[in-house]
Amino acid sequence: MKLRIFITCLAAILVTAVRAQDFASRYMTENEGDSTLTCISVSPKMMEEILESNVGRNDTTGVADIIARLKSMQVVFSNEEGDAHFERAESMAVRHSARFREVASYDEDGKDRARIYVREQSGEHIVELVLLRQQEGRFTVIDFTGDMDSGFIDRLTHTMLPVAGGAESASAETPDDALRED
Amino acid sequence: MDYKYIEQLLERYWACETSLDEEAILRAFFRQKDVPAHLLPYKSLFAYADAARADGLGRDFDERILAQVERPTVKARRIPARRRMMPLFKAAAVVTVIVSLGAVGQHMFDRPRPDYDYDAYRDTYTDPQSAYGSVSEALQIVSESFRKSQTHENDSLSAVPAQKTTCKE
Repeated sequence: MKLRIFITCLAAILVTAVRAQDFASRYMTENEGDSTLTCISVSPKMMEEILESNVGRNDTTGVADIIARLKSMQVVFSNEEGDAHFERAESMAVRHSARFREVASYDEDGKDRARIYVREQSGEHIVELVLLRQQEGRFTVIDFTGDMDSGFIDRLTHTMLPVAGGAESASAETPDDALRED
Repeated sequence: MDYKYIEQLLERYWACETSLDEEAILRAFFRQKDVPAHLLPYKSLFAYADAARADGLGRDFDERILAQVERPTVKARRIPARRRMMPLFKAAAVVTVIVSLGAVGQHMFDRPRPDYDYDAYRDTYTDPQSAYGSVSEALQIVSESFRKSQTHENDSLSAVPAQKTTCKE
């Protein structure tokens, strides 16, 4: 009897300890059959390698400090049906409003609009930052996870980030093109 | 065989007139195996003394009495150290399980608590430089979006007082 109670408690704890999906992964899962969507992933391991690499060590603009607070990045983009994707993503964020809180948005007559959400834990601690953006027919989700707070967002907002040289020389078919503005 | 004498002794016995010797004769007679049928009912009366004499204290009487009176002697047993420590081991195991569950629960509810399945991530880039470029561009887009939202918010706030002025005029 005692063993059964112990196993039940252990199972309950394990169940609650199951890892969750970030917004971008969940969006990809919900639109699994959509071939117009592409996902770029940067894992925590790659983030560490960035900081340990020359570009991270020689950075003088403060980007490295910002990246140091990040755990991962996922970018989901599509060059088709931008408005439909945007509305679908927005409704997904609203469905999970207990998890995601909107902190910023703008809308330029539907041609260029964006929503920024954060997922907070224990007050001001931000574990996930999500940007939904639609520009004409292009749709983008940028999803950062990490150890962030309102000070981080202030720094991010007011830091002039350079465009990396490696991305500029990439061909039109590489994922980096999706992040480049027209 | 003529048992007239025994019958006469019995008559005298019922009248309480028999002597000790005569009673001894009666007891000896009824001690025999072959007693006539008409005298059998009286056998148990004279044989009870012999039966009572057979009852006595058994050889284990002393042991039984002493066992009830005396405290039992405890024989020393050798208990292995492992068996002696077993209750302590059990208690330590229970405490360990409780502390572990508490630590797991506390770890789960403590901040910060990353609970994302990072193992499922498949890196798009194989070199850090390309990844850095992508991350920088993404951060730039987010930064610009924040600034745009602030600009739009400021524009909408600055537009309100102008309308009020118009109304007043």
